Amino acid sequence: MRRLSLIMGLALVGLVVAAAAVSLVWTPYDPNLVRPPDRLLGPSWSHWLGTDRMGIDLLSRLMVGSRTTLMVGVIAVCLAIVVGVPLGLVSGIRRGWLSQLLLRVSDIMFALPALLLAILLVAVRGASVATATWAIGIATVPVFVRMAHAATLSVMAQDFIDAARSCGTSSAAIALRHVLPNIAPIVGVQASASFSSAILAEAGLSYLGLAAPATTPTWGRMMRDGQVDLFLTAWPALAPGLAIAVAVLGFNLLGDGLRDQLDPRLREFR
Amino acid sequence: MAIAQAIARRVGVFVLSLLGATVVVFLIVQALPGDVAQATLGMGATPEQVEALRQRWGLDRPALVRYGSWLLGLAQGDLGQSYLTGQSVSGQIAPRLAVTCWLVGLSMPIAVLASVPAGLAAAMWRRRWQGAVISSLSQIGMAAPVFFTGIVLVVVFSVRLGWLPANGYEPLLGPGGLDLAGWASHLVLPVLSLVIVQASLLSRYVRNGFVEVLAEDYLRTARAVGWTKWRALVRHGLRNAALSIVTVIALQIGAMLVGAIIVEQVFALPGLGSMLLQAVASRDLPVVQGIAVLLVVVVLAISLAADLAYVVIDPRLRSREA
Repeated sequence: MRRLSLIMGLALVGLVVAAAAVSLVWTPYDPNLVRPPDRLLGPSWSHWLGTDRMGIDLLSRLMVGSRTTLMVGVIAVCLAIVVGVPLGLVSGIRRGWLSQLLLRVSDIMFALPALLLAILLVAVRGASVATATWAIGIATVPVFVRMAHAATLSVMAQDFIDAARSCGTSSAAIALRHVLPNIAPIVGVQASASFSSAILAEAGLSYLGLAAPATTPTWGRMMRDGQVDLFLTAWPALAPGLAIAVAVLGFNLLGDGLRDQLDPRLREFR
Repeated sequence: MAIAQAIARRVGVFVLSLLGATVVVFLIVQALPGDVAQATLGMGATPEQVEALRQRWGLDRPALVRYGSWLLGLAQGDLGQSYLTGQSVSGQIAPRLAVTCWLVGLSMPIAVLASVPAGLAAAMWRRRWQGAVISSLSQIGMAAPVFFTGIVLVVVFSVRLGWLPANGYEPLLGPGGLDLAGWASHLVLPVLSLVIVQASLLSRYVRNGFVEVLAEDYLRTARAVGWTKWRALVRHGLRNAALSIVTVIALQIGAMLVGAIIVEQVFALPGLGSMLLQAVASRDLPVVQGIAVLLVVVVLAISLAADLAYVVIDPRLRSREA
């Protein structure tokens, strides 16, 4: 049962990654080829998932769209880790007023959901995938600050830290050699969970028309465009929605599975 | 006395966070590079026209002064004036707020009510297939974005069955008097979309809250004195589950408000979210800024309420504060 979520998570994430990788070299059709006679076709052997209102092959567009999804997720989560983990680490080791201020600011930022931050940035800078990625990344920083801070505090309470201190090890060395390796697994679990939040946020922004322009295939944007024809055919709106759900479910299950592997004490509760 | 102190401290933190949040929102909207006046008038505008517009909007004043006067207005419930219409933002928000309040205010309690039995059943049957089914459903409900859930509901209930309208809104008190049926029929699907997402998430935490209690000694004691498993779990687990619910609501309120913004887009509801999106499209920054601050204030206020609720629900916190 526990292995199951890890395996299913890996399988679903693998599916999305494979679709993105294959789309780099091959897609069934040109993902931007407009063919009006073929518009709104249902699923068939020639178009596995059917076509959209422009006659574009949905599967091809979905495959290319997975690239944007993964790219936004990777960049946003990496940004959040690179900024958030060191801040959490430092604030956990040196508990001064600066750390307190840092934590307060990250609490305030925490009250600003990724999508709202993105909407604010888009209002000022205009809609683009880059702005969306930045916004999602920045909004995810406080998650990692809090998590790294809490994890660092619990590591710092261990005896081996006192031992290291009494040997004259510097704070920096303690952070890098003792704390970081100990909190790394938790960071990994959080990264998987944050990845699915990032995918949801990007999809939401694209759906609202606040991320990618119509020419860039993204899953959220495809749903927005597909919704127009909902009373004619549901497929162009539902197919990308399923893709988003698969990707999010995959990363959620992967995160759950990883956490169970890392922390046997939590297994009882799953 | 200890409780009063704890409450006072939390209210203090709330006020400071509130101030901090206004700074953050102001900085993002006002201090980022880019000249709104220039962008509004376009490339063909003369420098004199741009300067005149900047003066009219008060953009020629230093940032600190602008922040101060904005904050002073906020304290009096004045969110500023729209660039586009010149009307007061607060006045424009009021009718929109009702729609969003209905949406969030109806879906939250329904989600909580649905998640408690679901979480209890999942905890009870956690080693059986029934538990696995509930947990799987909640995983799927969490993974599906709210606009996907909404569109699926539209496909089923509007397109296929034709029972409910696919979009639009009727006010409860319209020009033709009280219109309960029209109002409710337009809210069922939007509310249901939010409920499915929220209840999926909540039930997962409720389940873990109950499962934690299952391992406790006092539960074994209750069983030993002859209570049934269900009765013991409901009696002792409910408080623990309530803690989980409060925690998740506090953590997720931001996401829920954002979900409401998206749901308004799915169902073309004239709420706060659609107002925000229109303002973004037309770069009406005072409106964007006003709505953003309003949303953040709600998030912070709910966090404060959750903090206070902890003290009420969990007696251990009371003694710890002392």
